[in-house]
Amino acid sequence: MEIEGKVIAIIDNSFNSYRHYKKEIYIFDNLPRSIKKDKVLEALKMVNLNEDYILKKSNDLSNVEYNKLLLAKDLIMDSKVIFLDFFEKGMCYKEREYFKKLFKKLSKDYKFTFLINTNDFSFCLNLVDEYHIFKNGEVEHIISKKDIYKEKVYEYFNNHHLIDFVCKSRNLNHLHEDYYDINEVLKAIYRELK
Amino acid sequence: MKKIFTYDKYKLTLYDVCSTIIYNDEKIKNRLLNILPLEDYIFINSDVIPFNISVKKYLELNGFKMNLIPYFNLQTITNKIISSLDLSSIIYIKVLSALSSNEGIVIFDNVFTYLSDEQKQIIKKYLSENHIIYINITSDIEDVFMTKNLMVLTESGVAIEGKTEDVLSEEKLLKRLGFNLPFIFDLSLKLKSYDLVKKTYTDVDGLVSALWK
Repeated sequence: MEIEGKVIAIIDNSFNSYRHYKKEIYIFDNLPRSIKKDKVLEALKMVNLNEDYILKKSNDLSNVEYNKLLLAKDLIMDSKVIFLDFFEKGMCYKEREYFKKLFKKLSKDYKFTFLINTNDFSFCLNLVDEYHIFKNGEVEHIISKKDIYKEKVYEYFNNHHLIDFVCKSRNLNHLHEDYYDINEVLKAIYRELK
Repeated sequence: MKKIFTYDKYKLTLYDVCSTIIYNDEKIKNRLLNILPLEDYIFINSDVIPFNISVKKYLELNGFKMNLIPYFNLQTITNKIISSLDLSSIIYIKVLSALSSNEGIVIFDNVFTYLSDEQKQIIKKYLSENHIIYINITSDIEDVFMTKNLMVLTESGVAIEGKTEDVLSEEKLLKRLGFNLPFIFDLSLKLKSYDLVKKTYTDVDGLVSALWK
């Protein structure tokens, strides 16, 4: 299974998000001495934080800050496989869109692999390359982004209003193509009605 | 309506009506939470601990009214260990035990975004039936329909407030402030501007019927 350079959504009902449970630690504790400060600052800048966060304990951070700091550490350590656990929760719209672009760029240009655990399909849409459905700890089924309608992968998530709308329209014999964006849907409706 | 809290820096006044507060920068929300006298409210956030006890035991220890288990659809998980559940279920149980064993105004800090649509609807129904006043603080625009009133908070203060759908209709202002709109509302607002529907919608079925039937 080739996962390099992909953004993958994990679907596993038995999965425990232990990363969500903050421990009383300094996240940047135990960074190898060989890591230069410039690299740390660059990673922090990439996740919209500053160097004040280097010395903050996990319990002094909001969930958003905590997730960003974990991501920064993964980038500093050149972790080629990065796990994002409900990463977008608590984040404002602009930041969510910023990080979606960042993950796409890092995966396409630098071959990072992102494993995403979330319940929000709107975060996955136009970001995720593949959906991996797990059963008993093993990948049972892999669904490509182009098959989300055919395989109904959105049923594992919340916030799939765009897909819901298209599918319910299809039940009434409208909107027969697969749409991934509100503007595509709008144009299609306009074409049908005008 | 009775005032329950004011924060001059943000020109913010909270009344004893159910409201959602949405913000465009987490620092704004953190400043608000630092100033709110949270000890006067039932404050529920998404921080949870994966306890190694059963759901039933946890609920009992927290004073949950066990006759509400069917109401909240907990029958299939009462004997499961909390740490074995997915995060949404653990947060759901935290919310329920806080609501059922306490009285007062509730403040939710980015909680509903973790829950399934079914879980949100059950909680909303319980809050309504028990006339519980709650403030829903969230960054997730899809959760603004948890209340009929909406307040948009920015660095300069309250940018706009009022009935949720009236506030969301101020599309240009919201987009300028860096917000998006809930998908169905956004789509129906755009369709309305093309005279393809007569009004805005908040639910998929409503919009589908209006458009195609």
